[in-house]
Amino acid sequence: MYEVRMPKFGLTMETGFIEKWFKSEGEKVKKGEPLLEVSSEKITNEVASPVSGTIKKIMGEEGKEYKVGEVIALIEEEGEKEEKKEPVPPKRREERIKISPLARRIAKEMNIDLSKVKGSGPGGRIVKRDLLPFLSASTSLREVTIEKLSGLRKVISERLSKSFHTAVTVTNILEVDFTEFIKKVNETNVSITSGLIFVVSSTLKKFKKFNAHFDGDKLKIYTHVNIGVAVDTERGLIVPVIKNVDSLSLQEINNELKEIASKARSGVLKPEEIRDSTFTITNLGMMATDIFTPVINPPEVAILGIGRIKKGIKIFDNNTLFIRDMGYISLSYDHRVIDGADAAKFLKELANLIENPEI
Amino acid sequence: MEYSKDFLLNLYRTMVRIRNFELRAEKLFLEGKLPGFIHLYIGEEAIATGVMANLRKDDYITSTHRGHGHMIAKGGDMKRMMAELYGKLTGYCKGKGGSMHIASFEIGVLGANGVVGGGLPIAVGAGLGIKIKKSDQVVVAFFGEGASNTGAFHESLNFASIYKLPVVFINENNRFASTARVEETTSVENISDRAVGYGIPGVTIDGNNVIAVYETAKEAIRRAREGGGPSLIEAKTYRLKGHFVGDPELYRKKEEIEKFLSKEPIGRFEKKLFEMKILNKNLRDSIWSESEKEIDEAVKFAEESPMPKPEDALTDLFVDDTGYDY
Amino acid sequence: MREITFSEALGEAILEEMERDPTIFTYGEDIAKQGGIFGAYKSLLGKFPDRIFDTPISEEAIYGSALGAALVGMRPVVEFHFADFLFTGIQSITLQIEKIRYMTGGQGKLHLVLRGPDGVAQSAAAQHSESIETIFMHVPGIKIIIPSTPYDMKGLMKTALRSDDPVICFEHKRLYKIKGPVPEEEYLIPFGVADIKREGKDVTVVAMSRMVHESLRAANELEKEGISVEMIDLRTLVPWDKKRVIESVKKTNHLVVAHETWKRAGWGAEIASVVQEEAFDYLDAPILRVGEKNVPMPFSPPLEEFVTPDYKDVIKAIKKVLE
Repeated sequence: MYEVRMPKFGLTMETGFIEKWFKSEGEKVKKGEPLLEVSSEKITNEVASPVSGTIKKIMGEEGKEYKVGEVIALIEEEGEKEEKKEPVPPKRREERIKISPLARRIAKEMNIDLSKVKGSGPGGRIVKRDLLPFLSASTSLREVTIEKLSGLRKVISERLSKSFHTAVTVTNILEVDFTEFIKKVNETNVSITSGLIFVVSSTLKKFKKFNAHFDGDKLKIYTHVNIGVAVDTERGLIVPVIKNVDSLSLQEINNELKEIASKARSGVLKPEEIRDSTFTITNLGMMATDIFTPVINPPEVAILGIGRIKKGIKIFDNNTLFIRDMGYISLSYDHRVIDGADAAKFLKELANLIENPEI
Repeated sequence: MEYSKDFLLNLYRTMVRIRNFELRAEKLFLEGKLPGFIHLYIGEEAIATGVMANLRKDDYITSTHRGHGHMIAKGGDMKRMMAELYGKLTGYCKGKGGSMHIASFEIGVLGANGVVGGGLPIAVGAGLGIKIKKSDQVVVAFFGEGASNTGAFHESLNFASIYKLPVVFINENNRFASTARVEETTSVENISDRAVGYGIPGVTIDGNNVIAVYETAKEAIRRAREGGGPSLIEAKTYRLKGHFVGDPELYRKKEEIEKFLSKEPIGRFEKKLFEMKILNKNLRDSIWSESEKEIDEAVKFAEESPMPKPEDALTDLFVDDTGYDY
Repeated sequence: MREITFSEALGEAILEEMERDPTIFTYGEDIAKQGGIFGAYKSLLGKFPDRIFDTPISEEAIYGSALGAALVGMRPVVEFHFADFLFTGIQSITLQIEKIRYMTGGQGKLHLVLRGPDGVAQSAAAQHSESIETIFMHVPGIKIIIPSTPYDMKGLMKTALRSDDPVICFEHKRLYKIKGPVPEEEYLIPFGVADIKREGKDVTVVAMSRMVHESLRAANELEKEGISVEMIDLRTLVPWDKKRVIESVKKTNHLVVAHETWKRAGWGAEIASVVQEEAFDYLDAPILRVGEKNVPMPFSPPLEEFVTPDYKDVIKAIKKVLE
């Protein structure tokens, strides 16, 4: 089937008007015979039929404007009827789409259905700008940057994954009044975390089961308390350990904590300083987090998370309200070895120590 | 002119070596061992021998497509020459040039050239360079009578003349430019007559008389070396074999070749040396058989040498090929 | 920075190198007495009497002798009167200079420079106006430099005079008088490094010689219409900076190559072909070339103007490519 297209008369011609058709559908036409009259700007031209045959269809309407190259009629060429060709394989059809190499690649990468795209390039060619509406519809995945995991990050991710998938982690949460605690901590010139380490240590002495390692089979309960303190560094999360906390004074704890935290941030911790914790504390109180569900640091059996301490309302027993410094403590524990009741008791004791500090 | 026995025997020996090399090359070619084309110097040995006997190692020559004789007389190593004819990596041009472009700049052979007359501007350039660096080297440019009709010939002689360059032009008039006879293509009978047109001395000699060649060349080379400028020597000879090996030679009759065989240079010189009692049968035979041995070794070397690797084709174009797309 | 003309920059390069290297000598037609027909050697007159001389009109001998001189250790600089006349001695270049090193298996160092004027200028007509660098790109064996500014001229010529390979340098006649900044200190420009004379993001235009200036003018005009043109001056044709061109095309997705030589089978076709081979998936439109119409250069000014490409042709090509 021959496609008759709007011809181009001049270098700058972009569209043409169909003035008049000399032939109608079904009529036979010979090559060179006048077929239609086209006008553009001020020129009117007779267009001769490019082939001989029968006019199968006339799509271009008289009086209407069409872009140069647009199909305006179809002519069934002589002898065409007899030759009924096999149906064209699908691949061929795709080749008929006029598209720039760049656009073709983008369409392929972004899985854009080309049959939906209209080409605005010369001759109806699909170019990159024609795909832009489709690109914004899809995700902006192209803007992604790929970051490979650093060694440290990999280790952290593996350990957390392990913990998450082996331990049966449940988190109990309790709201605690930190007002007195903060007062006391400020008086003694130590950090909140140090104070927490101190009281957690005392609690662990009472609830020994929480100061243990579990390997899935045996529960090893330790007599001394080594507290790991999660520190956020540029390189990732590091958990330096303060050993034998139970034998340290609050001041000593504070000094140690300052030292290892700074060492952690500058990346100069020795291997033995990040090993052998029996319990971990993670304090996200400086960030905008009220409550969270920390993942246990394997092979430990529990971890304490401290949320943000902010002004809140506490209702006392006599139904009076006061504005106090309130915060949530979250205890995640391995339910394989610790029950909810044990966890609740632990938290109650800890909260008690916090709310009634007597160091 | 009195010449020492050794000197004369060396002239003889060189001509024999050239003759044998060419005969062997012909044989190898007909056995299908040599790719491309070869053009034999058989019958013209006296010219190369006589001229080169006057040159120093640091003098230059430019040669033609018929260049094996020049190369051997200038001190070319037959092993490396044979290897180049075979197209081997160990050839003078690493297999990239072949017979027609054989060259060794280190012994002053600025190359055989496949373009008729192509060596003349190069010779002139060498002379120019020598003059500007104020050296006393000379350049000998060999070319055939066919080349004397090219534009390059005329431009080169004029050029060498106006700058008084130390170039000696040796025209080896072997009577045939491929199939064309010199009488039909050249406007003068003696090409040396053209020297007048360029204001330089020109002389025609019997190119098959090695002593005549030696003496004439000596004079011209001395003149060039002393700053006296270029000269043109036409050495008339006869090309005994076809233009190239395999040439059907439809342009001449066998009888003509036989007639010129009696005038060929080696036979003539040999006869003279026998008369002078410098040569006897034993010495003659040993010179010929030693030459055969030398060539046997050359052939052995060539046949045992490796071919260049195909990728070697992409080397030796530029000294610095950074950024170049092969 | 001081500004000197293209011609002065050329003269300086040759003068400095001749002072530095006694093996450099230069010859050609009409250079020793009047300093070359475009005055390129004015600064050399009287300086090295043994090393500058005029020749008869014998192109085969002139170019062929450069080869011979190089083979005996000298560094000749040969001026070809007009690029068109390279054809009269073409045998010496394409059959000898471009072949000798290769044919002899790398034995010789052919350190020689052929240089001279080319291009359309003031009705010089068909035998004195052509640009024929494409031929020497096609026949392998010689490097080609084509500077467009005084800065590039001096740096490239100095590199050429120190190169151990044969170099041919084409200087557009109309560029000799243009002025540009040239540092006093010595500098060399390596071959095969293009110069991005204008950065842009919509279309890449690759050009050399006079067409660099035409392309920049086109770029300035198009900027007003919001089209951002990246203009790359190749500076050397053999070798040419493929990497930088492809990087640019990957950024802009459109390419126009503009040269003064005939459009058909000009070196622009080679650039276009290589780019479409290696950056096919980055092209958003066909690559277009701008060049002379495929006729000999006519004499009469309106005819000459019609045949010769200029900034308007570059603008048209850019617009078509962005259609």
